[in-house]
Amino acid sequence: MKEYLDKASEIFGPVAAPAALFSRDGGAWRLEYLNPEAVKFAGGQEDKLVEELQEHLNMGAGLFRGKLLGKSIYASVSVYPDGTAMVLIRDITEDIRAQEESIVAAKAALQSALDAANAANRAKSDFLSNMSHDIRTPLNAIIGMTTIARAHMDDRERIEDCVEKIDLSSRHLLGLINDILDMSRIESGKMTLSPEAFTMADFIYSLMAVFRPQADRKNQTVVLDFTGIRHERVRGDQLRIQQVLINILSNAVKFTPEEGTITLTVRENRDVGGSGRNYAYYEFEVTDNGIGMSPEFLEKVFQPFERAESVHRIEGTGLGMTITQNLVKMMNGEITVESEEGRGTTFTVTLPLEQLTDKSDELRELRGLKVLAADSDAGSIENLREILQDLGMECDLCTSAGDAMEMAADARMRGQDYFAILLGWRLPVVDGVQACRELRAALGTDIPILLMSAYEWPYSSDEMRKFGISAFVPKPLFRSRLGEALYAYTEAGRSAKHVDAEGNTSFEGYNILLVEDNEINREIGVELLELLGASVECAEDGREALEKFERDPDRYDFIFMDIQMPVMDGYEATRAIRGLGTPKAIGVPIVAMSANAFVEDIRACERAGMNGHVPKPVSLESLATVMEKFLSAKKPR
Amino acid sequence: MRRYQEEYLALLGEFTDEPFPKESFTDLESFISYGVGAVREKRELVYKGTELLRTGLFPVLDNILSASPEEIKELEDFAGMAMSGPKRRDVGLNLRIHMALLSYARHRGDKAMLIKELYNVGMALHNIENMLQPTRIRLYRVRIRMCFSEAASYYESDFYDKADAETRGYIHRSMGNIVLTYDGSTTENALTKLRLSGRSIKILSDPDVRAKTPELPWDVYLYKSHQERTTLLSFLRSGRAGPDAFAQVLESAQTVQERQLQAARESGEPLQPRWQYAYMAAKYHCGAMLLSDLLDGLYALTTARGPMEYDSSGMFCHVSAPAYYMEYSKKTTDPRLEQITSVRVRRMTERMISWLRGAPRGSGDDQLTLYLLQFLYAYREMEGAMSFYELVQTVIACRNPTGFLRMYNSGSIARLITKWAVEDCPEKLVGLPGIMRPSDAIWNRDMLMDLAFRAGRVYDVGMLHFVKLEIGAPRGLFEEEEDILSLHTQCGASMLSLFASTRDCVDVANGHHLSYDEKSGFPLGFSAKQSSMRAMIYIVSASDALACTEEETAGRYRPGTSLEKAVEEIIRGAGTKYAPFIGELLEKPGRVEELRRGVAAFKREGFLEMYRRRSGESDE
Repeated sequence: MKEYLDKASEIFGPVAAPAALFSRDGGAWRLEYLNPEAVKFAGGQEDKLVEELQEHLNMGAGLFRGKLLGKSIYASVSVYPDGTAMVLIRDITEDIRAQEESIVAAKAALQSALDAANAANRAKSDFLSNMSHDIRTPLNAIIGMTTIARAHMDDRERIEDCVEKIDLSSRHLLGLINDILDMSRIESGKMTLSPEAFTMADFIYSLMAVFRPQADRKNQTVVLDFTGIRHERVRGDQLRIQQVLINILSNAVKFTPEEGTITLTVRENRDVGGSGRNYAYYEFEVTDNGIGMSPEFLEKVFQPFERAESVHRIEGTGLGMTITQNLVKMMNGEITVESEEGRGTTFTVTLPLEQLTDKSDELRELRGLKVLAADSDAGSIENLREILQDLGMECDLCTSAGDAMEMAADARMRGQDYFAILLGWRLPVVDGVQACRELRAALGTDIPILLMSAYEWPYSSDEMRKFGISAFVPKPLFRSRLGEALYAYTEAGRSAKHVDAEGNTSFEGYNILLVEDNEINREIGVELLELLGASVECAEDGREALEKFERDPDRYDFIFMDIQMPVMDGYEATRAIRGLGTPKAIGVPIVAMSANAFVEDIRACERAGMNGHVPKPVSLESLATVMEKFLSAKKPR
Repeated sequence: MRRYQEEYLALLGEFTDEPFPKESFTDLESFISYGVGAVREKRELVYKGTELLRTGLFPVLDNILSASPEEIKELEDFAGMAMSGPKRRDVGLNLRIHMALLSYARHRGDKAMLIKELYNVGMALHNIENMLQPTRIRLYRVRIRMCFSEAASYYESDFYDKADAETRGYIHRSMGNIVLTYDGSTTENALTKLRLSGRSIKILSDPDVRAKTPELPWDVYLYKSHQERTTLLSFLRSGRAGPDAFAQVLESAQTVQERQLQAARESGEPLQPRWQYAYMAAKYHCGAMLLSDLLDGLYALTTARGPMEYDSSGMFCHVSAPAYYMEYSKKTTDPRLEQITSVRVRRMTERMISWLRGAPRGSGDDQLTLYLLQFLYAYREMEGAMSFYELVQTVIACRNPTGFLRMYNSGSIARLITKWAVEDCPEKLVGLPGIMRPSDAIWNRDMLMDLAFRAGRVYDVGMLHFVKLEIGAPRGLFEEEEDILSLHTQCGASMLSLFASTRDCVDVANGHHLSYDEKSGFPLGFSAKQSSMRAMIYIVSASDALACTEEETAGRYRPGTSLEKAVEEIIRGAGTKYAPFIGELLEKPGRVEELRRGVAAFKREGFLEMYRRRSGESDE
């Protein structure tokens, strides 16, 4: 003990801070010494102090910031090789209090300066801070889409889709910034419009790209009804119309609780224009079942900087509806609002737009062709019927995949295949993707199958091909989009773009020799290769394959070779074919099909003269991938 | 169970992850001879296991569509046993079998089996992809998502009501696992993960859904979903999370925390260190804790377990907690905190290495690999702390001793080739750091030789990600495993690029498997010709081939080729696979003899260095 005390006084002599010395006692730390400052610090709670210090010691040496006896402290813990440990404590309670006081004082000074500034310039700062929300919305869409595009650099379609949405959101953003800069011009009515041609389909899709994520964040249901649109190609200031609708729709999201419903309906009223041009009124109606507005507020809803008293937490510039009304007026339109507190609100914007001619020349190709369509609800089916009839097409409609499969099979038996099949993705019992697989298995690849969905399509084109889907048509359905999608599979459409029913490179015209001893594997192989458009001949072992090849080498463009086979295995057969020495025998692609998937086995295939390896069990995707490596699309015969 | 299956599982059980024991050796020769013998024995096990699968398993998989129900059952059991062995698991084999079973289920139209196999394949792919942590490389994300999504989609079909409890369980587990493919790295990704987790949690909490199948462990599913949603904590600090995101993530963090506290109370044990960390992190991420307090707490955790505790908590405290500490400490520029951190980094590193040296063979395996990678990626080369180069050498010596020996050999050979190049063709070295003219190479010979030695000793560091894959099972590699292994170049480059002490070796790690003419090898998209380090890439690439000529440094499937043959191959491949100047250097009379003498010496030096690093002893 004495040497500890000596050591302590030697150490602590010049130290005015609280300090303690401990020694190791088995697994615990035993107090050896508390200096007077430490006793003072403890204020009668020495035992508690020692207990807390022992806890700190268990965490090892180092500097700690924390609490001792409820006081804020810094503690330095040193552990010596002889099993002793010293703790030096610095009480920083006062420092922290002083710091806090100075922060409070500084804050008060700042607050008063800020209040003064705010008072002097309240309108402007409110305007700027509130406006930032409206800027953020399209900016978020741009950032989000850029992220998605970057993550799918090898998926051209996805990137095109993102770029399109980025383009639209950027334009919207630019529009908003222009609004801020030209606020005085808006008020003095000096703003000009920029009419341009656009289609309602593109317009609605781009509107949804900005709006739907907002609604999704609040789990709100978005109902779209465009059944009343007959003419999609129009001329108008697309950017301003979008701005108007986004303002209204964003308000609907803000003032509608989670899981509420927002409905956008677009109708077309003909024969209202004049001046020799073909004008029609388009009515955009946005209805929500949100908090609604009081009659008093309803009267001043279009006045600047007005917001309902009860919605302090909801962000907004208070300028949105003023801008909206001004823009609608500029476009010679009208905006009305009906609302009931607690029940919801309906905004109706009516705008005259010039109607332009559709791409009817191309779509004329579709006239008289017959389509089978299946969708889950009566509304969608009715919409589909109207569009298809409008395109001059015949159609059979049903509401389940089972019916669709039966109708397609009947048509095949009658020798009257449909020109195309349209399937809703979310069909009851068997969904569209599964139905597509079944239909492909039953009907082969001749008939295009298009999948329709309001949901974002999550799969790449490769994955679509795997499911046997020819194309994806986004909902809501528009005449133009659906017509263009179907046109791609008409004679004229196909001649412009060499695709098979699935939209893939087809191996039509190629003759494949499939060497496989197992009957089921052979059947599956034939089925898959035929799905890819190729014709297939089979050999049951290597010997038979060799004989067939020797008999007519030019007959085969490609050989799939099983490895483990009776009579002659795949290695031997390959060596024998290559050994024939003719240019054809040396050049014909031979690919192994085997479950022997060790890298060494694959090397053995290469050494035997094979060009590649497909692991078993094989899939459509794996066969197509390996064939694409060696065969170019569509062999002319 | 078939005989080949039993035999393979027995082999799997006796297969050790590395051949060198922890015990001390009295002399270097016996250490070398033990190591070489053990490597040889291990290779024999690989041959045996490969043959067992080739003759027993593959014929069944070859004709899986016509397999009998008994064979299918045996395969299911075999795949399960391969994942639940007492010592080790064969993830690749498990995947291969389940992929075949999935095809079988599809072909048979057996929906219950299809759902189960979709889940199994998704999990197997997820287990393999886990090896790529903590890089951003995600090979199978889409495939995993598709498997789980397809299985989960049956929740909304009529089949759900007809399915038995086990199948419903797979449907719900798949639904919960879709979120595994979202890492929260972007806002979009995090928001999607939030949405999907929310949906899954809502369904799992629905009393009506639970009542349909009361025998399912709903609370476990729910807990797992909350646990996964808690991984989005860091998203909260990103400034991109809205109040909804805060509410959801914190709700999950709290649920997980409560469960852990309850478990701790029931067992009478203190809260596990990893949950202590999670609790602190949750408080920090939602703004209720200062960074300095979080760091203090984390540092305390690093000493919460004794240096000889090798259980999972010991592993967390010694390896993972310091990694978290270092990662979080990067967020501050406060000089006081930085000063404290530099001291702590030194201590934590010393403690981690000491723990790693003592860790028993095979301990932790997958988890330890992930923690070590986490440590390495988070490491901070601060004043007074060990350089990353030194640190990683020791980690490799402990975790991948054959890799250490190969790289030591390569580094030494690269140094020798560089010496020859300075003497014979200094112009080929122009472009390397500080070498503007051929004469610079002559004046800076020692610096260049040192660079070659260092580059040669870290170029394969990316293999640390795949230690389990490379040496984990007594069989040859499957094709997809080789594809994954080929990512080690990018993984290594990404790790080396983080540190000042290894940054100059990044291109060597990236390009050492690329042929000179850049027509073969990997990675795609990298061009050695564009690199200022190209001469060093060529030198190390050839050194790698020459280093694999010893029993202990050759591949796992074949004994090393002779040095003469390796030299011949380089000379033959000069201009295509290897740089022409390397071929010319090796053709010069006397060079092969000098190389042979060198390799013999390097072998001894390598073993000695490895022994020193593994044991912590500074001399023989």
